[in-house]
Amino acid sequence: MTKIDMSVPLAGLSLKTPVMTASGTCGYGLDLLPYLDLSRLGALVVKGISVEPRQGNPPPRIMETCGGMLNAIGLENIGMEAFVAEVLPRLREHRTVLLVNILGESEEDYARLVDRLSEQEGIDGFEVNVSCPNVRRGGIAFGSDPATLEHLVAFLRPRTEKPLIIKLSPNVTDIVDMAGRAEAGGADGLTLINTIRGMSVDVESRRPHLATVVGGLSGPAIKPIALRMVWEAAARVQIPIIGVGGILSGEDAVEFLLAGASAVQIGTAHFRNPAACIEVMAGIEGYLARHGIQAVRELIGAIRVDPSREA
Amino acid sequence: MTGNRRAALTAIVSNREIVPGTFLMAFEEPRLAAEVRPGQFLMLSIPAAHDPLLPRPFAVFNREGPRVEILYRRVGKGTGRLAGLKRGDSLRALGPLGNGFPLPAPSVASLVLAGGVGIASVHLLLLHLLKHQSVPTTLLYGARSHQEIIPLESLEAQGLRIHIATEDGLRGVKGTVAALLSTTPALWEDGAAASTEAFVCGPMAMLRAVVARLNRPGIRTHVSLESRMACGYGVCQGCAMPFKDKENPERVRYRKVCTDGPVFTADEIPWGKTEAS
Repeated sequence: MTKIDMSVPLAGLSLKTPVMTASGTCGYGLDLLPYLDLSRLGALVVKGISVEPRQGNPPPRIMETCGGMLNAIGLENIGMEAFVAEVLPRLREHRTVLLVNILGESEEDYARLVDRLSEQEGIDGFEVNVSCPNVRRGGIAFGSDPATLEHLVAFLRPRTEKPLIIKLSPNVTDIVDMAGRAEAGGADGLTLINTIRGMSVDVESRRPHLATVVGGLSGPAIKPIALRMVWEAAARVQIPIIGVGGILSGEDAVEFLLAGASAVQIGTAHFRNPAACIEVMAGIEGYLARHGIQAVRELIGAIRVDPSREA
Repeated sequence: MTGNRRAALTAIVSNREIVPGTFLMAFEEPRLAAEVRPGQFLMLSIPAAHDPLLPRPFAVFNREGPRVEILYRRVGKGTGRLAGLKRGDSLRALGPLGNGFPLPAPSVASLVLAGGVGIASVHLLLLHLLKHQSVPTTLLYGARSHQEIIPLESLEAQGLRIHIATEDGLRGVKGTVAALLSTTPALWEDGAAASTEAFVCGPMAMLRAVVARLNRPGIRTHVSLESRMACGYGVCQGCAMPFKDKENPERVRYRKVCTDGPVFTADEIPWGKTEAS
């Protein structure tokens, strides 16, 4: 049997496999090293980096809920300069496609991150986290207002030659409009979806389980929502989509590819198994072999939908 | 060399309730058994099950040859599922994780304090101390009910001095481990002359009370902390707790209980300000 081709092109990059890590679930990749050869990944997406270090939220920061978990880590990170000085040299030793997730509270923050990190060797592209509040615009998240999102992307676009992938928040009225706006601003790709806002209460103490009351829900509980949003966005935009939300297995990943994602990210599954990406890759390969498909690319958008049955 | 470690897929050898609500589970995993140090932990999950979704942290209670033993109390959904496992059922175990207890020089007196199922975190340490210390080791062990106290005769036979406190008063002294510490003056006289290393694990209220009483010259106290965690190996950052900032002791900074701990010295913890939950 011929070897299965797992490579996918994405936003000008050529990925070995469509499986990458989801930001915020594998630190800077270094904690995965004992369990995983990073060069086997489609891409490593490191946790969100801000201009200045952030110490994150007070505990409790996480709570397991049915089929998922809530988190309110608060985007704790070591900041741009420490990332460049301490982490990047170590990541360069591993031949992996590196996407740096960036976050800011103003357009200037994002610009400083893109300017500083674009000049660094070993960074292949950016994933822009737009779920933070925009301090200049009354704290409304960049990713929840269409015009603000488009303006941010258009503002960043001329600053770098590297791919700009926008990670969209699902906490919006119209995800398709947001996808279109990001594309119009000049994005090279989209990641769908970030966590869904949720909460959980301890009825004995009558206190919320998280110190911040509200957190972001991830895990299998959100997979159908993520899949629906990927499918709807894929129908609207030409740029590639990275699907993320509750993927535990190869079959889960295949669902996203069929719905129109060009690649997938593995998030919460890392907490069950540090080598979750490898498990998912093997699962996809098994599916392809079972169906006599030679290249994973053939699955992208290959969902069979009878047009008359579309809701 | 990277990428060569795996979460071990293993099978339960035994899983029995040794006192009401407290279970001792064993499985064989030669690498874990060989590598684990006192105070380290494992993340355990049931491979095929998605509910609970996340693994749970457990101290390694004992090891013998290829065998690893976990002592746990059935308290919630995760431990409830674990308690239902039978011989031959599969289990995923990631580890050993965390820093573990710093092991004292053989001539240093050791005082070990355990509250409730906190005994699980110090048991491997007790075995080490009994084997290597040239001076006696003392255990202060407390629980809410006499029924929670697990049998430790084999440690006693190896020379461990055990003092027990229960809140129902049906075993040992009536009260808590902290009270035991105050009412047992002999503890301070024998063995504890020059310096003592104290090792503590238990619920937050017990840690707080015990650490306050151990705060005296010549005693260095190591505390094993517990925190809600998703991954156990440093990536989720869910288990972070506030610790004193070394550069500015007036301030706190978050550190991870899983990879920076779970063992910290008592003076790293801002006892007045922090709550575990």
